[in-house]
Order: sequence, then structure tokens, then C-alpha cells
Amino acid sequence: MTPAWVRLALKDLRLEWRSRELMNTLLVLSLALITVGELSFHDLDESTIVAAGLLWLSFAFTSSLGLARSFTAEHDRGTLETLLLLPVPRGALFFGKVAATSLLLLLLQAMNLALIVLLFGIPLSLATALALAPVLLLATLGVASAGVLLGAVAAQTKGREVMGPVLLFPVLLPALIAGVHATIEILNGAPLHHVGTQLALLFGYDLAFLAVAWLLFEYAVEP
Amino acid sequence: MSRYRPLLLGATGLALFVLIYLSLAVAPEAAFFEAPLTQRIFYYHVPAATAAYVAFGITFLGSLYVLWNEDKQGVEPRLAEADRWAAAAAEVGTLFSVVALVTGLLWARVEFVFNYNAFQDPKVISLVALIVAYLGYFALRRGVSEPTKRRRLSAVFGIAAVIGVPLTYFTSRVSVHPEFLRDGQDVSGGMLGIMFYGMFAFALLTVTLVDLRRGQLALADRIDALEESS
Repeated sequence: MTPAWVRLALKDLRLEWRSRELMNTLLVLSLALITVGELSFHDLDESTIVAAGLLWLSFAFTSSLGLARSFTAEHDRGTLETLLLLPVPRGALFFGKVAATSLLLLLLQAMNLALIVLLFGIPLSLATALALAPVLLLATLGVASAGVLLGAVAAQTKGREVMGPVLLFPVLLPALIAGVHATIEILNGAPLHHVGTQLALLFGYDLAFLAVAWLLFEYAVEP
Repeated sequence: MSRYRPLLLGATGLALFVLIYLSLAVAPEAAFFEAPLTQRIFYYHVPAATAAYVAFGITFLGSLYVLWNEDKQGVEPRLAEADRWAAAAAEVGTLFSVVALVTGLLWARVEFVFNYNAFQDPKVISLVALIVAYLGYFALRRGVSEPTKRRRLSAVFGIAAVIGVPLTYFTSRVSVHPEFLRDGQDVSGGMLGIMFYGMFAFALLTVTLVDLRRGQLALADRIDALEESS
């Protein structure tokens, strides 16, 4: 028997696999951002700093737009009422959404990273990639859990397309800052234990927001 | 609280007047700074920053009260009151955040003579995050027209923002922000005392402003209710 949240996450992923509604748009957006960044900062010497900055800049834009979208479909198609009627705890709805969103954002981050590495010609060894993995993983999980909560809030407002990024920015800021600092260090060749502070901060952010968002989610989706 | 309002207003006015006198005439020159005269802005800068966080705390407590008691019976007027406190404190908090940011940047410009990267300073970043969070809070309130829904959703955001903003403080690396208490600088001559007095005066001002604004919001709600019933 698969737990409810896993099946809810699979439902979201299957939907995205069939329509590719979100990923296609977000990929084009990040492609545009990274290309403009490459063209603007081409002659700079500190290519690792620019690359890390661009990676997180495109992540900030695409994730806040994508997270704002994650609940609009549920509202427009009336799926939310059905989901709320399911005989599962509200927490399962939350964790399902977080799991699916994290996976999609992680895929997006990986593609952005590959693109940036290619465009900027950064030597990305296996060790660097492995060191980057926990940073991206932790940041994405935190961004997804805070984002699912605030995405659900934003979806119920007027002008929700703008409201999503407006609500998300101040709340996502610590995760984004910690992520960009850790990425710069790692791309410059620092081993993983050098970014321990940032990793601890991201871990704390994840724990705090998984807990808080799980507790508040009920209030955010109530009709 | 309206019975005490004249008293509160009078006390606040007096406290602020005394602060002006203390900060400009009584406080000694901070000789260890490049710009000792400009340093006097501290007696407004530090209290404004603490007042902003106090107001943020009121918003948080009001939001918590709303969500905690939402399902209970017969608490509707008290929920509306808590929501008004949260909204009023958010407005006052934005004002003081901007005051703290502007006074701080003004001082840094004179003291460091442009050699200052403000956005590497954790206090600047978290203050900016605080302002943006408050602006998001207002946008959210404007974006929901149904009162109970607005109350619930803005409470959710009020709590989420309180978790996010302080974390911003720990993400920044270098701080050039002066730390009076830590560096063991010469703060004799009652400088510290006047600063703490300033915090007290600004806390009083915060309570007064939040109370006035809360009263206005209560009147606005009454007008809305009357219009609906007529």
C-alpha cells in the first residue's frame, strides 16, 4: 500500500509529464535569463561567481513563478475541492505537493546547472558536482515547502500571478542567499565542509518550513 | 483602550521631546567615530529598528491568535480585533523599518565615505527583507476582499514571514555594523542609557501609533458593516 502523499505526488508528476505545461515554460524562461547573463557578463574574470549568481537568479525567478502556478490549476479546474474531500490528512496533501514540486524544481536546477557549465566553460569535476548536490537538494526542499504554502495562499487572491513572487521573495531570501554563497565556494573548489554553515542554515530552514508550512497548510487551503 | 488614549498621546509626546533634548544636548560626542556629530542619529536609528521588530512581533502574535482561535465559537469580534492589531502593527512596522534603514544608510555614508557595501551587512539585508515582507502583507490584504478569508490568509503569511526574515540575518557573511556592546568601545557618559531611553520612547510611540491605526481600522470595519446592512 503506497502512502497517500506518494500517490498524490505521482498524480502531480504524471500530470506534468503528460502536459509539460510548467516545465516547458520555466525552461524557456531560465534559458532566456541564462543567455542574457552569459552575453552581459561574458568578459568578466570571476566566471564562477557570475555562474553561481545566474544559477540562483534563474532559480529564484523560475521557482517563484512555478510555485505560484502550482495551485492555480487546482483552483481553476476545481480539483482542490475534490482533494480536500479525500479521506486523507491535510498533511498528506501538503507533503505530496512538496515532493512533486521538489522533484520538478530539482530537475530544473540540474538542467540550468548543465547549461551554465557549458556556456561559461566551468570545469565541473565529479567531486564538485557531488558537493553541489546536497546544497541544491536542501535549498530546493526548503523553497518547495515554503513555496507550496504561499502558493496556496497566493492562488486565492486577485492578481495571483504577481502575488506569488511578491509573497515568496522575502520568505525564500535566506535559502537563496545561503545557496548562492555555498555554490560560489564549491565552484571555486572548496570542499564540502567549508560550506558547513550554509548547509546547516539550509537544513534549519528546511526543518522550520516543513514544520510550519505543514501546520499552516490546512488554513491556507480551506475554502 | 480609547479611555487611556489622551494619556498615551501625552506621554509619547513628552518622551519624544525629552529624547530630542537628550540626544542633541546631553549625549557626549562619540570621539571614536569619524563623524561624531552624525553619530547622534543612533539615538533614533537603533530605537526605530527595535520598534520595527516589536511591531513585527505584534503582527506575529495577532496572526497566531487568529489561527489558534479560528474554529472556536463566539470569538468573531475578538478575531477581528486581533486581525486589526496585526494589520495596524504591520503599517507602523513598515514606517519604522524605513526610518531605521534610511538613518543607517545616511550615517554609513558619512562615516565610511562611500567605502561601504550595504548589501553585505546582515542588518541591512534583514531590514530590507522585513520591508518587502510587510509590502507583501499589504498586497495580500488588498488582494482578498472577503474579510474572514483575508484574515486567515494574511495570518498564514504573517507567521511564515516571521520565520523567514530572521533567518535572512544569519545568511550574510561580513558585517561592518558597529556593535557597541561587543567591541567594548567607550560608551561612557550615558550614551548607552540615552539609547535605551530612546528605545523606550520609540516603543511608546509604536504602541500609540498602532493603537490609533487599530481604532481607524475598527471604524472602517463598522462603516463597512453598516453599509452592508443598509
